[in-house]
Amino acid sequence: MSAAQYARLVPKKYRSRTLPKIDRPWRPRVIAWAGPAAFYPNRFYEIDKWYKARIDKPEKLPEMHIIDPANHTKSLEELLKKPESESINIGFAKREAAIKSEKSEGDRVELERKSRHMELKIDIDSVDLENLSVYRHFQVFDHLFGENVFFENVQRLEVDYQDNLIYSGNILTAESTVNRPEVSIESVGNGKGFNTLLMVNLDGNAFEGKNGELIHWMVSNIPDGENVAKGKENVEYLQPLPFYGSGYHRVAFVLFRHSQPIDFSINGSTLENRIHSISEFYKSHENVLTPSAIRFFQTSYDNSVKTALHSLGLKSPLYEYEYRPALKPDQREFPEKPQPFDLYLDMYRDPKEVEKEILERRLSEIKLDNVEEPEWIDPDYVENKKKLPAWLHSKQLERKGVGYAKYHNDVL
Amino acid sequence: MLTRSAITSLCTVRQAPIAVAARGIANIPAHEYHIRFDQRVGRKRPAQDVLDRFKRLNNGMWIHAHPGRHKLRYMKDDTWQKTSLYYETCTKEQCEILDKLVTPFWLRQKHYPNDPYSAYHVRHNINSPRVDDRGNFVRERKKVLMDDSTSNRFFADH
Repeated sequence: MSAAQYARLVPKKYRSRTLPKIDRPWRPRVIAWAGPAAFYPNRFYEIDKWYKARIDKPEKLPEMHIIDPANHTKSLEELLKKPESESINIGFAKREAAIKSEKSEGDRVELERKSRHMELKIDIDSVDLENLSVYRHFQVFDHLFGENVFFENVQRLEVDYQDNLIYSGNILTAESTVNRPEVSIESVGNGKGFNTLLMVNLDGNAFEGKNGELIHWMVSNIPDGENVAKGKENVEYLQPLPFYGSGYHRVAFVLFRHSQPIDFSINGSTLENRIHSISEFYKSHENVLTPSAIRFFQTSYDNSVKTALHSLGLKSPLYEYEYRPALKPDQREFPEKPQPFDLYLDMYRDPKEVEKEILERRLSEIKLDNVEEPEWIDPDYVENKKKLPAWLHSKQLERKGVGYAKYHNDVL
Repeated sequence: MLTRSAITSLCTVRQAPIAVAARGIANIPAHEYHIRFDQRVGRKRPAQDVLDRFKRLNNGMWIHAHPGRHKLRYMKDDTWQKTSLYYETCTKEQCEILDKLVTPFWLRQKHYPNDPYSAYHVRHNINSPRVDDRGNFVRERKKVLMDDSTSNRFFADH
């Protein structure tokens, strides 16, 4: 209260000699000074009726990747170097290639000129494809017979799925491998000796506690120079079964050579019975069996796999990659520093609810067959940029652009 | 006389837009940052500026666009170009002040069809108390009050 107000309110007779100090409301001044948080109910003294006092413990951050330089004295080259031991050839000696005609100096110059002018044409069929580095890269030998083992391709083996020839690691669709392939084996023994063909899926073993590989087809004791049908079919043909979500499977055709017919104890009808360890199988017949040729291809999931599994009386398993949960700070009800609200709240939403929302979105966007999609991600970009809030527009762009797969992959 | 009046009118015409355009953080008209009362109705009037510039989510969080995002964009870096477009959260004190500046009508929960903000109207995995000291829900619609474990089992929205 000011002196003028005091004078107005109090007659002169009753005025005091000095201006009295009159209590003015102090709460708004404290709020102005200390902010509204000054009068929050204190959880230590004024405990609410239903809830116990919660004392916030300090946030415990998970340990990040700590790299201690003392533990990393070796260079990458040293770390990646494999222990030196000579790899063992378990097959036959390499065939000597027929000597091609020697090129004269003039021919070389001409070839070089052609190559420089991009005119050199190479006939693919005449090129020798026996290159074991592909098999090494895919670790085919390692997973078939164990580490540090290899053998040379010395016998020509042609496996043909209706014009889909198998080379080293080419990709076939699972649908094209439904029927058994045509196999032609080169005769190398002038009618003596036998071949045994093995078709193995190196990545097909889905059974826990059973180690080994899935045998899809096994024909043993094929007389040299004869058709595959002349051999004994130990394991009937089953198409490769790359399960959903398990990526590419390596399927190898291995040809063994033996001089006398052998009675193999391998037989399999169900999926579980087909699993055998190839290295153990080879170990038990090491003295009489010699691998002579190998081919492999890769397949991934397809609808035909599902139908095949259903016809076997099984269900098609779905594999999912388990990602690590994202590292995020504890959620604050009101973050101290301004945060982008959509990103901040998205971070803590229930992933199941997010998935549900995506699915609803996709089902609402399911389109007719004859609809032409616009060529651009957002044809009305300029309009939307002005009209929509930026977070919504960027979300829309993401749905059509970077995050396309999330919203448009096959729903199973 | 006539010429003089013409000159003054010209001057006012020239000065008027300058006074209007210079509205920044430094000079916000005083009536805009006060709680105003309508004498005729006898009730609080919401601050129109708050309603224009801020949005209240149903859980009590106020959001606003980044101030000054249109200023000198060309001389700022790429990160800023991106982050300046975000809609930002307010702190607890700011939220409370804004709550006081508007009427209870604007504090009620609003539900619109095809609301792009619909996913953000409820909070998840917050461990602060759900009720205030009077037993009202802080950031949820009104419902039968039950203990935390039961409501966590059956209700996802909190």
